[in-house]
Amino acid sequence: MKDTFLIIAYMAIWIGLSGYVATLAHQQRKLSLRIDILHKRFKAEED
Amino acid sequence: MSALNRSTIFPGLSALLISAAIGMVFFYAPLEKTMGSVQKIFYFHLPLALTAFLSFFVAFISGIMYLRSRKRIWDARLASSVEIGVVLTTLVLITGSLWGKPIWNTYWTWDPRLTTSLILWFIFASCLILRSAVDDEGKRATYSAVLAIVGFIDVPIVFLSARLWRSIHPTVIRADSIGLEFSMLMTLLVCMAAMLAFWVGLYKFRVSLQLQEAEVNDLINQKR
Repeated sequence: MKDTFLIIAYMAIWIGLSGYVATLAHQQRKLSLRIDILHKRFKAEED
Repeated sequence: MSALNRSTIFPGLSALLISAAIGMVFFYAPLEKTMGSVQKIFYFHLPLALTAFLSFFVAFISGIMYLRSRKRIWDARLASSVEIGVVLTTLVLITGSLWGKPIWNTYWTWDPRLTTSLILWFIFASCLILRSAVDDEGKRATYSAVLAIVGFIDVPIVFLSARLWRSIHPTVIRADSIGLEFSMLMTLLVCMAAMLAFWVGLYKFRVSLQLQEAEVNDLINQKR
């Protein structure tokens, strides 16, 4: 019974922390895409 | 040191320390007599709480520095540390509840330590909500700086709550001693170091992301 709570607690910690890191990585990927689009748009405007 | 090495030092160090910490928790630290295996939640529950306090302390300092200098970097530091602090406090509350159920026979009780911790979570979660609700960058930074400074008052209250009022929450770190035997203390210190390295890596990554987002938004606004 006590082992179950221990396992759930450790799972919660690692799901929580890795989920947050994954969210940040996703945000960074979205930001890189935005920068790429902006770069292409500015380059097209200059040309 | 190259840029790649600098950016990978903390994630690498934290991966190494977290692996060592998990190994020590399950294979080195002894079973506690009264609570048994569930006491092992403690080795990450306390480091999570202390790094959450560190986050709110950084937010407090960043808030003061932003109000003094009005520089964007301080707002980015504040936003990042508040966000990380809320994530860590959420995990502290979850792990605490899961530890409380087999020991206190309840997931939640309105104990001073638990109640002040929940208030802390609400204060800084409201700071995140406030940031997403205000569009003007200057106002958003000022309001959240004030909230982070005022909200930090709750951190020493959480820390002292189990000492000042009657509480069922255990107090491990006392003024005169640490109530742990050597192998438990060593495990706790490795877990603490692991969480600290993880926190530094996460904080640096979050701040750089926050600044890049602000710069991209500036660029879009300039071109409009």
